[in-house]
Amino acid sequence: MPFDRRQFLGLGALSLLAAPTAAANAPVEGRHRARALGITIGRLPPGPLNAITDVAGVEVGHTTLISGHGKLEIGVGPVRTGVTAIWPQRDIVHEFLPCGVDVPNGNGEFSGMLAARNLGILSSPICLTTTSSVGMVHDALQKLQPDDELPPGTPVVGETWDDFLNDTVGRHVREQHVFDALSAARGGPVAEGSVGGGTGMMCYEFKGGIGTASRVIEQGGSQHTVGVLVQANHGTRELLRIDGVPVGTELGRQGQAEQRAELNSILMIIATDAPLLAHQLQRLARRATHGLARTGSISNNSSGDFTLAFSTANRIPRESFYRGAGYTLQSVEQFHIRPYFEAASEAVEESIINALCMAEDMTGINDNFLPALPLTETLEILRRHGRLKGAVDG
Amino acid sequence: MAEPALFRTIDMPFCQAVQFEHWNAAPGRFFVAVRTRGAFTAMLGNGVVEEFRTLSGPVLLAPASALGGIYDAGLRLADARSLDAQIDQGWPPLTIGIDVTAPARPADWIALFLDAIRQQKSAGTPPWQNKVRAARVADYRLQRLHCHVDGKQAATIIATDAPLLPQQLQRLADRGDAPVSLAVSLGNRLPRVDAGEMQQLTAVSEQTLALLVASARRLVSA
Repeated sequence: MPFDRRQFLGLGALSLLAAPTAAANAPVEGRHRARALGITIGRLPPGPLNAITDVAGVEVGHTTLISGHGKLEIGVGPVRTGVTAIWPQRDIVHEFLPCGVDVPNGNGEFSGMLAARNLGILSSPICLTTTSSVGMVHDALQKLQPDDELPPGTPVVGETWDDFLNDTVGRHVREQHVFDALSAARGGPVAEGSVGGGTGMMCYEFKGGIGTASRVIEQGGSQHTVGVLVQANHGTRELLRIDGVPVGTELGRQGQAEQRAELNSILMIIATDAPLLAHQLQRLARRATHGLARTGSISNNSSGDFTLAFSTANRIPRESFYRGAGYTLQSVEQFHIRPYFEAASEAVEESIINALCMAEDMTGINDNFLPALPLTETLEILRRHGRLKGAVDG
Repeated sequence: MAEPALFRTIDMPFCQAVQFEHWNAAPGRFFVAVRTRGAFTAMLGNGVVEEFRTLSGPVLLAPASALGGIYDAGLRLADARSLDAQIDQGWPPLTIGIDVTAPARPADWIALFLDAIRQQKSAGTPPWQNKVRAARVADYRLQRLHCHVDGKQAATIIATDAPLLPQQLQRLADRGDAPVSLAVSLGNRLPRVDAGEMQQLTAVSEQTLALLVASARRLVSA
C-alpha cells in the first residue's frame, strides 16, 4: 500500500520558522509554539531550541503515515499514525545510560520498565507509536542489539491509542518505518504536532501529538539542560488549563461531541546532561506528573501515563556493565537536585502545550474530525486572565 | 499427566499460552501478582498488571527475542474475540520472555497461533520444558507451572482457586525463585466491563494464607 510519508521536516517543522504573532485581537494564522504566541510557562529559561535536542547527543526522528480518507477498512485505512524515534545517544546499544521510570497510571504499554527498575539502565533507542504496533516496533528495536555472548539490551517502546482517527487494527507501522525514523533522527529543531507517533493522537479532545521543550539550570558555576518530549493523547476538554487558566472550560465544546478521551494516555521522555543516577532519575521522572497535572490531567483510570528519564552524563560501557572490575559514575549531590525537579515539571507542561499549539485539524477514519486548539480564542482567554506576555522566539 | 484443572497450556513451537479460562469467555479479570528477580527484563504487559493487579487473558510465554511478535499475536487474539470490544477487554497480553534460542517461525505463524487458541489444541512443543505440580490446602487447590530450559529456571506460575487479594497473592509470588514468578487467584472473578459501582470480593484469613504460602514454598522447591 502506498503511504504519504512526511519525515522530519513536515508541515509542523516548517511552522517553527514562522513569524511569532500575539498582537491583541489579531487572528492567529497558522500554528506556532507556545512561546512564539506569548505563552510563557514557568520561570526557568529554555535552551536554544526549547527542545529535548538541547541535551547534547539526543536526536529525534519521525516517520509519519497519512493516507486514505473516509470509511474505515481494516488493513487499508484511513491511516493516521507513525513512529517517533529518540536516540539518547547514537551508541546506546554499546554504551548504556542511567535511567529511571515513573508510572502515574499504568493502563498502557511501555517496555523497558523492568530494565529501568531492575538494572537502572537504558540500552536501546526509544520509540513512541500506536498501541497495536508495540510488538512489531519492539522486535525491530531488538534487531539493533549486538549479537554476542553478553545479554542483549531491552527495547524501549511506548504506545498511545489513536483509534479515533487511525485504522489501529490494520497495523500500518512496519519495521522499515521504525528504521526510517531512527535514520531520520537528528539534533536541532524537532517537528511537533501531528507527526511520528503523535500523528493520530488527541489531547484534551483537541488534536494532540508530539511536543517538546527544555530548561537550562545554572548552579555552582555549571550549566545543565533538562529536555522533554511528549506524545500527548490524554485528557478531557473541560480539564485543560494553560498557564493556570481554565482554557478548556472557557472554550467549551464549540459543537464538538464528547470523545472517549478518558481512555487516552501520554508518554513523557525526559533527557538531561546532568549526572543523575538511576534512583535520582526515577525521582526526576516522578516530577513529570506535576507538569502534566498543571495542564489539567488527573491521569484517568484508563490512561497509560508513563515517564522515562535518562541522563547522558554517565556512559556505561556494556562490557563494564556486565563483567569486569566495575565502573565509576559521577552524580549530583542530592541537596542540589531541586532545580532539576522544577525544570522537568516546567518542560513537561510546556511540551504538552506545544503539542496542542502545533497540531493542526485532522480528519481520519469514518470522517472523524479532530479540531486543533483554536489559537486566536485561546490567546484571547489568556489575555483576559493577564497571562499573555510578549511573544519570543522558541 | 492429567490436564491441570486450574490452568491449561496450549503449546506451539514458538510460544506457550497458559489459560485460566476459555479464551473467548465473557471479559473478566483475575487478581495476579508478579515478582521479578535479578536482571530479568523480558516482559510486556506488566504495566497494566502493576497498575490494576489483574489479568484478562492467557499468559503468553515466548523466547525473549520474539517477545514483541508474540505480544502482537496476543493483541490479535483480543481482536479475534471481538473487534467491537474496547481494546481494554482483551488487553494487555502478559507476555513473558524465556532465555532460549527462538526457533524460526513459519510465514503463517500468526494464523497458526490463532487457530491453536481457537481450537484449544496444542500444535507443537515450545523450546523449554514444563513441570506441573499440585497441592491441596484446606478447601483450596494450588497448582504450579514451572518452566525451565534444560534444568535452568525460567518462569513459575502458581494458580489457586483460593480467593486471594493482590497483596496476598504477592506473598505467593514472592515464594518463586525463578527470574519471574506469577501468582494468579481464580477465587474472585471480576467483570471486565462496568458492572456497577460496587463489587463483592472474598479473601482468606491469614491462617489460611500462611498454609497456602507454605504449600507454595514446597511446590516451588519440589
